[in-house]
Amino acid sequence: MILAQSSPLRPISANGPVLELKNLGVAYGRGAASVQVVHDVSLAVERGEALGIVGESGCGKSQTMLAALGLLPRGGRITSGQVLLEGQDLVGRSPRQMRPVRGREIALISQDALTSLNPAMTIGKQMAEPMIHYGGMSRSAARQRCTELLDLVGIPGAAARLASYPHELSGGMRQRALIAMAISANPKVLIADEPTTALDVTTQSQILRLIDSLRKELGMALILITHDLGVVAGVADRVAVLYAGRVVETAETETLFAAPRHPYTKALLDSIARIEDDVAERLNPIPGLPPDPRNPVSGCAFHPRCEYSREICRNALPILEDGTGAQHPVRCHVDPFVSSSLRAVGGAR
Amino acid sequence: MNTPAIQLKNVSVRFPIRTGILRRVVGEVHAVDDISFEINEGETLGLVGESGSGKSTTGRALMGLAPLTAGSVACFGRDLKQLKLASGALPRISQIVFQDPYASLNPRMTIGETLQEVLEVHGLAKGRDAKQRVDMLLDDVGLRRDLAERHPHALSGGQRQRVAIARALAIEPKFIVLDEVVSALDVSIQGQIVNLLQDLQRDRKLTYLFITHDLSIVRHVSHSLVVMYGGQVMEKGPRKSIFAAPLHPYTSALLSAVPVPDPKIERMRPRIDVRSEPPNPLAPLTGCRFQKSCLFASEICRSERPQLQSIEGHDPQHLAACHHMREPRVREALSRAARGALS
Ligand SMILES: Nc1ncnc2c1ncn2[C@@H]1O[C@H](COP(=O)(O)OP(=O)(O)OP(=O)(O)O)[C@@H](O)[C@H]1O
Ligand SMILES: Nc1ncnc2c1ncn2[C@@H]1O[C@H](COP(=O)(O)OP(=O)(O)OP(=O)(O)O)[C@@H](O)[C@H]1O
Ligand code: SF4
Ligand code: SF4
Ligand SMILES: [Mg+2]
Ligand SMILES: [Mg+2]
Repeated sequence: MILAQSSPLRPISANGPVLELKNLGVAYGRGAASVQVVHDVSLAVERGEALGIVGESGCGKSQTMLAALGLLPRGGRITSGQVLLEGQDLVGRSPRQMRPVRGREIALISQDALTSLNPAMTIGKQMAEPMIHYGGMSRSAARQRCTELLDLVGIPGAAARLASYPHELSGGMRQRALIAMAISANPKVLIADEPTTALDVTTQSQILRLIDSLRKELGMALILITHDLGVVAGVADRVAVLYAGRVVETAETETLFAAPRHPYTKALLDSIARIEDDVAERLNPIPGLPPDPRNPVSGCAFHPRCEYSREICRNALPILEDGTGAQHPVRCHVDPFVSSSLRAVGGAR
Repeated sequence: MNTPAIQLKNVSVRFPIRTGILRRVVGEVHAVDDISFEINEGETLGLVGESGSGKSTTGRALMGLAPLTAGSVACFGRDLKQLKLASGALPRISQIVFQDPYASLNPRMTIGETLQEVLEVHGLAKGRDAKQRVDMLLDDVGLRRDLAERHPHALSGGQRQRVAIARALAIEPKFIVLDEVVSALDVSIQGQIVNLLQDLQRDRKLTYLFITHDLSIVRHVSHSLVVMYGGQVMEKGPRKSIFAAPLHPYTSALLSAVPVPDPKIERMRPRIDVRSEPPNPLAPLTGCRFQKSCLFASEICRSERPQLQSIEGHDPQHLAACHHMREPRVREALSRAARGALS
């Protein structure tokens, strides 16, 4: 059991995962006012692998990653667990010790990155600054590198674009520039938090393909955070599903879509409007709302919305178990071995 | 068919660009450029297109919130200009609901107070009567009555969107513009709102303009479709016909960009690429607005604006504006991309 909790993903390969979160917990406030927003999350990515993280708004996707990078805002703290970068624990490191890690080892494209670009500074300056300050590059070398990077992410006329201000670029171009900044120090892990949510579909599709090809070219591990299952379907090798601050299921992407085991994953897949569906069909939303971490739900956090919920679900927290040994751990009291019957019941809905 | 509920004829909306202390007009944004379409009573028209293509401006023009530079709008047989002059007449017919209801709900008023105010302003109910109506409105949109006591910040995004819908319904309009009303919500919750809107439409014969960039949702809700690009209509017609076989390269590009939640299909399917060059509304191109992003663009595309036309073998109501849409190589490429998206 303990084993399943601490390494719920595939067995550690010869060189091990490049980034691994073990039993990570995050809370805000102290004492009676303390609110736990991430519980006991374990995840791992290997070199060159793409891990998708999906879940509804507020389920803790961003908090998990901010915690891993030591970027939790004031009031937030890590309550448990480890963040292992090639086996070295990052938890407890000072901001000063974390600085060389961020950007160089692990890069983050944060959820609000598009709005956090400095509107008064040219793209070139924003890109070059950290290279000069932390990378010890000369001004002209940094400039050269920036041009190469913008070229790499498909911005036409890269050299001229260095002089542009953010507002002079379209949303898609700005996102490309942000990606260029994120990969500028050749990180081992790229974390992209909702990198396409603000973009329209044609631009989204281009950006996703860009991220995917860069990952392959540069051999980076990728953690792609999104609430859009269509987005992970195209890019991720494996997917972790979060609900109310906990991992409830992880599996190879194809397996997850073809044979989801957790009732929440299944409900999430059923709720999507599919372009191949025709009009008269009603959508199948999940009833109710995800819980507010200030009022945690007893037992399985999904029980008020779960159509398979039983007595035990209200009282006991299910553990994340890989009952089948197929690297497909699930956090549910309904025995994963009878998941085929579970799906059959669900299909009749 | 009798007269449509909503009818736009050759509508253009331009915004002046001003600079300097004197606010001198130095140019114009061609936000909407000569568009026409109709919506039948009790039906939904889906309006899609990329960011900046003029969707919201079209919706606002229908509500009298953006000035028409040219063209005319008729709502239920009455001219928009006349409706605007008769005080209170337009809101009794048409309402609009926005993407971010948080911005449009007064944070200092409870939900109950907000709804009650709407009823009182329009002289629909007062005092105890109004309170009762508020309860009924909350029932209608599937919110618990006790939420009337809450302030907007204490509601979830989905709940706030229900309140915004309740506020629009309070006036018992016949037509509602829904501008990206589910775009900010989780997929799990989007369906709740979409189903609610469809139930309300069925019960009350409501007419909707459903603005969105999400083609999967549009396929679920709309009877007909208008695809905009750079302020112009690229394609329009019955939903079935457009999804069965898009005629315009841009529609096809949109379809092939929608991520399909199935890893096998998503990784294999062919795509129609668009080059990323969004149109510049300050300096509109002559010819086809889509020319810079189009794989099939030729000389004529740069010189002549293509007109909306039907093509043989398709629903005669299904129109698209493309010089090359009849050519076999184009039809072949488009249908391959559409099959990829819809398989
Ligand atoms: N500064 C904060 N103080 C207190 N609680 C916070 C803070 N930031 C986030 N939270 C809470 O932590 C929980 C997890 O938030 P998080 O941002 O990780 O969600 P998410 O899964 O990224 O959602 P989204 O899809 O909306 O980005 C939420 O309930 C949120 O309200
Ligand atoms: N009040 C205004 N003044 C000047 N320009 C405007 C105004 N409103 C809209 N525009 C411009 O008109 C064009 C169309 O904008 P509109 O908001 O209608 O696009 P949209 O299709 O709704 O885009 P989105 O999907 O991003 O909401 C844009 O170029 C926009 O910048
Ligand atoms: S533990 Fe119970 S409530 Fe939770 S997902 Fe499984 S069946 Fe549903
Ligand atoms: S008219 Fe020309 S540029 Fe425009 S969509 Fe057709 S082929 Fe492309
Ligand atoms: Mg987030
Ligand atoms: Mg808009």
